Amino acid sequence: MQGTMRTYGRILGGFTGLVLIGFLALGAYGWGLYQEVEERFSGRRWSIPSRILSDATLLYPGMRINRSLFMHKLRRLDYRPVGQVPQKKGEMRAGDNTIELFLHDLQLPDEQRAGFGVRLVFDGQTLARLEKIISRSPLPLVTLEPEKLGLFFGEKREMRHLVAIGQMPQVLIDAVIAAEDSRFFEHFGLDWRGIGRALLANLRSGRIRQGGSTITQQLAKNYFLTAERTLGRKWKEMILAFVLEWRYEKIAILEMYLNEIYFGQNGSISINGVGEASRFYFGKAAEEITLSEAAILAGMIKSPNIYSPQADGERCRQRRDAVLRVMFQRGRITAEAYEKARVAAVKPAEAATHRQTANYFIDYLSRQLAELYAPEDLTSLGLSIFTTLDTQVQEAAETALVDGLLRIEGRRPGADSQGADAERLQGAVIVMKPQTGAVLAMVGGRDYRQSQFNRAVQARRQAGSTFKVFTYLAALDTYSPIAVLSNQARTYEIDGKPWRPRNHSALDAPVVSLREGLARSVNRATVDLAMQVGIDAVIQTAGPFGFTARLAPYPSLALGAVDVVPLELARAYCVFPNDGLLPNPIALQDVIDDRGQLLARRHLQVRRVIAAERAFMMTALLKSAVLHGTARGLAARGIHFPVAGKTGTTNNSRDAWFVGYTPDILILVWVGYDSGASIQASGAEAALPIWADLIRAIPHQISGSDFNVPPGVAERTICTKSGFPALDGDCDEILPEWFLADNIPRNSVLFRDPDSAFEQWVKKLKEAVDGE
Amino acid sequence: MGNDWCRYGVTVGLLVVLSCRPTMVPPPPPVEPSPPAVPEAPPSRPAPEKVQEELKRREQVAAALTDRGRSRLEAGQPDAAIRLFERALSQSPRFGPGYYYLAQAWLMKNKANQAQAFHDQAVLYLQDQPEWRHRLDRQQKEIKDRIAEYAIP
Repeated sequence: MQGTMRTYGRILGGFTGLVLIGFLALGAYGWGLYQEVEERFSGRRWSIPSRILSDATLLYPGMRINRSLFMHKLRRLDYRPVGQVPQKKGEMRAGDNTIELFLHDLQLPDEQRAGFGVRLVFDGQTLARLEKIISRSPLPLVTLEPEKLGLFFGEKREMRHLVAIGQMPQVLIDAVIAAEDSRFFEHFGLDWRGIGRALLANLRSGRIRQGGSTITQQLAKNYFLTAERTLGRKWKEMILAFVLEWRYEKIAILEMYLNEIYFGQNGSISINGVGEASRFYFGKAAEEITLSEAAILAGMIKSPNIYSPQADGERCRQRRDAVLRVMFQRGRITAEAYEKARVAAVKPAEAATHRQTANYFIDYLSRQLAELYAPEDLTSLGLSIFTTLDTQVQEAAETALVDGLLRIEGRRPGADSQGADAERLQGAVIVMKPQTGAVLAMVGGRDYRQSQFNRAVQARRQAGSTFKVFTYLAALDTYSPIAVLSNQARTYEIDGKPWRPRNHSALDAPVVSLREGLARSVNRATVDLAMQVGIDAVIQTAGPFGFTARLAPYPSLALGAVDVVPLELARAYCVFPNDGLLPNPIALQDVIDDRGQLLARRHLQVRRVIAAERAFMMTALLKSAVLHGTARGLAARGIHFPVAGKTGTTNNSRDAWFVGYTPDILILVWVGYDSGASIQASGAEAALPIWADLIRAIPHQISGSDFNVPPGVAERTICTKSGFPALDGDCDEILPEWFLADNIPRNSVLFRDPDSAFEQWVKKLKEAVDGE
Repeated sequence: MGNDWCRYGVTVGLLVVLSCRPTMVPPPPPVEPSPPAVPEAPPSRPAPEKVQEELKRREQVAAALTDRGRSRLEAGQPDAAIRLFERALSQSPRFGPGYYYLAQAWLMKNKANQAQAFHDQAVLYLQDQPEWRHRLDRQQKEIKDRIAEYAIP
């Protein structure tokens, strides 16, 4: 008996020892996890993600505004419509001809002001009056705060609008708790009833149907664990849930959960948190969502790609109704509210309101930021990163590109309807301020969610005729716009092989003027000119314009046989409206920390590449392309203010370009396939209409003025018939023409001296033509 | 707390048969929403006087921003001043005083080459305004002196 007792005692002692060891091991394990929670969870909770901001917007009386884009901007800036005169920051009332705003506070690196009420009175597209709401005193200038474009949060860039628990509507909190964890305020991290219910459901169905995870467990999993479904991971999740519950209050856990939970995907960017989800799915701030919308969001948490209003409206509605039913059964909503919400339509936000813009621009910016800050600093230091982006221009650029590509595809049925795998036509748009180099907008493709390859800065495409400007620029010192170029078919030798340039469109004239050669993009004339000035001179001329591609000394270079990065080409063209100065492209302006201290600043930097008068001469020539050359289609598209520009089409129509500018703004448009397949359209047909649509949508960036005339150029009249300077009484029709002041042709030599070298050359050319 | 530890034990047992909730499979990208149609501005051929009005307004805005920038310059804050001059020139690219003060700000930052580029622009846009000639000459001299000062002998 004693022996038996001893045996039992030993067993009991051993068991007790094992239990103690087990508890000790468990305690050590729990302590380790606690440390992990402290280190990672607290760090993340209290770290402040960095914000990327657009440029501020200036408003002043007399400026022209696209009201549609402006209203989108105000919505993105969180101005909420109200029925009365706005009295609180962020309130807005829009009438037919007025918009009243109570401005948010402005926090720029060099300008701060408190919010106040302002009234905008419109006369059509013109902002006729700008005044204080109460005193009606006129305001000469108002700065509208920058828009938040995104946050650096976690390992990746995410779009997230953090919302404090106090700002979240109660219906949203109730809906999420009803859908995910109805006993959240009663358990300590694990819900035994929920686990039991899930177990029974799984046993009944013979497969795993329910998980039974509490909100705290889900939070632990999202923060620390992978999505793998193993026993070890589940165990760790539960311990972490205990630690979180022990360490933090329920309300703090709920706040973190609501700002963390996954709500689906917007391309490569995940949508996390109710703040971002309510914007993405309903186009409004979390504070504004209705009971029905709250129930939809809560229902989506289970599986966003199944229950989102975009994925399946009917499933979404069923899931919403289930959430509403639970809320009603638990007394969180009245019968009346339940019925009203149940009959509300399930509809996602319109594309305009939920579409994330400027993703390519932010990618471009991120690469610049990576040189300044480590990724962990961007996600934790609460930096405010001010950029050059004009969100109205960006929205217009994205819209113009997508519409333009659809138009091209629509003209050629089958071009993009060969099934889901068929390659889609692509494009890129860059909008810059020539004087400052500020990148106002950048679109690197038609759909960021499908392709993150930024064609604006990562693609290298053949420049085609857009590169011809450098041949003409190289010739400016010795040739004037009225110089005569041969349009004869000629064969050149490249590496021992014959090369015979052809014109893109039929042009019978044996000779063309230099102006016409560029305006009509005449290949033969351009090569002829390049041969006369020397291809090395063309390379030397183009060299300082900042191209990274090697410029090979072949005659075909004159026609643009060189692969360029679109941003480099846009920057190079900035030289012409910028009086010969080459700007550095700027996307990043200022970086300030969470205390408002300036950490980094980027200024405009320029370098003189050509003299102002030569830049003007190129603009004068490129205006011809728009007035009566390859870009003359702009007039038919309602563009009547002064524009200079150049179309470009490469071999077999692989690339279509248009680079055009006014004195205020420069826009580059490229259209093509990534594979290099033919788009079967020219620059004038494919790229130019997109350019026109865009510039018409952004009146606030266009003054309509003509280009400045610098010293060093002179205007003379020429005879339209001969194309040469007109002499008194010997010409019926005359036209003005620009010359470099030190390169004005002497009329007498041109017309009166048959033995001059020039006349001899023209004579020989004509003989050659007659002989062919 | 003791109850909680008991719950651990129960949980371990339950875990054998209980598994986590279905894992979210990375969702396919949603169907591309069609972009909004940007309302087209009516085709317009701006009258010359309208263009002149617009230029004048932009020049007034540029002048106001340049004044703010000058205050920053006088307060010894060239970086803040440069930002305001840049904004001024964004509004009115041919606003000569903006370039002049931009050159002054770059001089304050000891970047004479940048100052020279903007000085050239100031000369370009202020050439027909005699009241600026003296200031421009003085600025040019200062830039040249500064370049000579830092030139490698």
